[in-house]
Amino acid sequence: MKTLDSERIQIVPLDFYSFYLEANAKKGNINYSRTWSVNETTYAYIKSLIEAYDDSKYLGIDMNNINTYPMHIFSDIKTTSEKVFFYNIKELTLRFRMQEDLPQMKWIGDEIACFSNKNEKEIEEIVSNDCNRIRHYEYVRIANDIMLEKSDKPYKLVSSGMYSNCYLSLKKLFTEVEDFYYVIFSLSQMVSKYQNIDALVTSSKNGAVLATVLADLLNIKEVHLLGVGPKFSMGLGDSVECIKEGKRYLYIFDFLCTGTELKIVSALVNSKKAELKGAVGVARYSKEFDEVFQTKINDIIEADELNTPYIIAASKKDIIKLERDR
Amino acid sequence: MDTSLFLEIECIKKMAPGELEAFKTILNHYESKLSDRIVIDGSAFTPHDLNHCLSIYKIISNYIFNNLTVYNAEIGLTRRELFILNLAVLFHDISMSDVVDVERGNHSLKSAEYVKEEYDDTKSVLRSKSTLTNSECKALCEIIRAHSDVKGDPEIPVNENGLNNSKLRIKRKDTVGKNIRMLFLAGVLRLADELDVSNERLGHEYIENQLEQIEKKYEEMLERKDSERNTKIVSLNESKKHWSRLHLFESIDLDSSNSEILLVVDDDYIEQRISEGETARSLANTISEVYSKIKKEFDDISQKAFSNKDDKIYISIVRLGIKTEIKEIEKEFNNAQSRLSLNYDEKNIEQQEKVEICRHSNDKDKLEVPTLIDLTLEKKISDEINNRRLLQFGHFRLNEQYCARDWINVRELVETRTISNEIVSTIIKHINTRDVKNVMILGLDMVGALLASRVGFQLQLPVSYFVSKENTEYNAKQDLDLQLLKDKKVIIVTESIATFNTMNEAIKRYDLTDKVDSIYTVLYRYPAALQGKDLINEYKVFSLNNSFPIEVVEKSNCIYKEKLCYGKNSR
Repeated sequence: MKTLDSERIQIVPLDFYSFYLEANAKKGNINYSRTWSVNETTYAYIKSLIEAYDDSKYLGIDMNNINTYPMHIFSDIKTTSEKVFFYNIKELTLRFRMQEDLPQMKWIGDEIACFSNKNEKEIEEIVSNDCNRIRHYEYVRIANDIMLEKSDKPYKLVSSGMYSNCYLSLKKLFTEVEDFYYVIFSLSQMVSKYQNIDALVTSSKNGAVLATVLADLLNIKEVHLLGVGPKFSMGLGDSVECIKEGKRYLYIFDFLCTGTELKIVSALVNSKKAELKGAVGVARYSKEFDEVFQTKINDIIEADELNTPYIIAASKKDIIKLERDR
Repeated sequence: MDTSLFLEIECIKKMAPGELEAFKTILNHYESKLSDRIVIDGSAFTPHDLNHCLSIYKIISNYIFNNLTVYNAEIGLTRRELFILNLAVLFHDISMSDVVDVERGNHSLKSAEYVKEEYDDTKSVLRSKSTLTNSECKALCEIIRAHSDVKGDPEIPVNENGLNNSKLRIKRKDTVGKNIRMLFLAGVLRLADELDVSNERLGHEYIENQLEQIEKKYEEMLERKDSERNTKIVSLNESKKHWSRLHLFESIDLDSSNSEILLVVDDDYIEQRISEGETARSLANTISEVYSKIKKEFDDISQKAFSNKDDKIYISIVRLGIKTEIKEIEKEFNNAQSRLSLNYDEKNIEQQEKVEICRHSNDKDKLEVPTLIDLTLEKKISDEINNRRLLQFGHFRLNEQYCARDWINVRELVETRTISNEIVSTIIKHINTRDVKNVMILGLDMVGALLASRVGFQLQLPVSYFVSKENTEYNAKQDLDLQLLKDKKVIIVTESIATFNTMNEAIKRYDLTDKVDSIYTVLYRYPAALQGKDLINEYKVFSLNNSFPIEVVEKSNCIYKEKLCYGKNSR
């Protein structure tokens, strides 16, 4: 299981751990929940992690979205490490339970608990700086990992008809189980914030893969509008039928470049007197296209955060020129 | 027998007071003619006594009828229809007693004749107490006659036998001028009679003893080789087979949705037989045989008698299944059904045998029918396809070599949460039970990719997809590449397989030949027209539905010229 690392700290995203380990135990029939309870399997895992910790870095247990755990299971944590701490303890009942089970812990405000007050200031600083960013860094790490290496020829983007210097391959992500889980977990969090969505709607194959998994976890209907990009714009017949009047849709994408498909989907949804409530996806090229959309776009990362700056252009020559000029 | 038990059953209790009183009198009078009778030295091994009538009333009330609609004063059955149905149940097997010498094959006709004779006798209880009009009596007789096909009577053609009888479609009026829906009522009786297969029907100990005596006589009859007895022996043999099968099921039940009726296997009896040396496969085959017979009848009745939308609302069940806790029986039953489901009717079963011969006669031809993994789900998928009219007819392109005359839109199924959840969880369960290790899940084309990603995600296995030649140009070039993980086998998920051509071509093009662990397909569509052709499947294939054979033609024989062969599914 992954811990999220920076130079100074490793963090354990306990909500994600709970999700992942529950899926591992069930092997089928899992659902996403906005809050999680730490079960005994997850607890055993973090206990072993805490007790084996070598103090080379800080170890932060992120309790975000955790609302409870079985009575007294935390009470047998045997560590005196100055560098182990819990943070994001937001639920009142959780805090009370931890105070009862781990009376030796020192509290920094209401949401941080550590085993020693020796490094109190540094822990507080780490939480406000490193911890709150480190989850995001993980998305950047994953995106860089799945970025296809630059080839001599620019990539053709079939949806927009444009060219790019690199290609974010979601297909590569699907083969990395933990990373795929991590991305899906984050997308689930975003999607679950939308209330009363009737269906997830997609227009690309990789978007459809993301949407079908999300729909499964969140028990939402899914509609796949294939062939709405410029290349296949003749085959809208059944796509039009898929959109139902008065229903609320949420667009799921893998990578949003110029947003051509989103525009078509948006027009299609509007034409049927339905509503596109927003868009959620892994990454987008730039926010500069956002103004044309009436719907709010949420993504995990922006292209400019990647190691290789993402360049798009209308022709191959332009890509080569832009690369050279960079 | 305590006839007050009858009065507790819903379909009798709900009769109007006048009809109820008449029914009680008729029941009490004819009880003696129905009770505890078994045809000695005759044909009926299976008790067709008052207990059987009681069971039928229970089946109608508890399993077949939707009690919310059928007794509703405004939209329900009329008071006379309910009365006629209850009389039909009471008299439907009256000829199978020592009152009348009757063969099993024509008992429905003889029972109807018996009722007619009783009605014609002005002094009979039926005539004097029932208040039936002549038209109502005719309706009653037609319903009784239709409850079972008459066998071996050349004067009754197939298209006039049983529920095909055109007289059931005549508009007969009841005593107050309302229509009597004879076809529907006959369907209800026929279905209830068919469903009374549980071993409760085996009756009391003394009936069992009598049955033993009959069996002895049967053995003697066989030894005698008396030509006069030949007809009776055939009939007896059929009856004995039917009777012995009653041991297989202990009861019937409804599933949690109340829409599927389940034949509950008597697991104790099955285990006893297994301990006596019988194999699970042979027992499951017998269960499958009985199930298929009932299923065929169930489908036939539903189609002929319950397809009218006004009558449909009275029926709560839409499917038939079996229930057993013995996993081996369940597995063997599913296997047996998987072999049969391609070929529901006997004509097609013959065809299947021919195909088997073809397969063995040619070593190159390695076509194996995919194993059906869940019979209940197969029925649900079939219902979904039928109810939502997902089976389309026209001209469709299968691949470069074949065209098809029909097509099922599996994407519609996959986008429908309830059924797709079941499809995914069934595949997951099956993979879990197989305990496969070191695999990744691959989807073929769009629908395959959707299913594969859900299966793979839930199982925490790597997921990817590959693309058939037909769909290559509709994918981004970068997404056509398939990166396999080192040392991992692949489980392929796809929407439909018919000729295996598309699958084989894609496997070969992606160089997966030695990597395939197994293939899961939502539909296996048997291309009957291609039997004996070079259809090769070298993989372990599991299917969720085998019940929609496909009509396939080779492109060279397609009526559309090859160059203009544009299918409805073409983009």
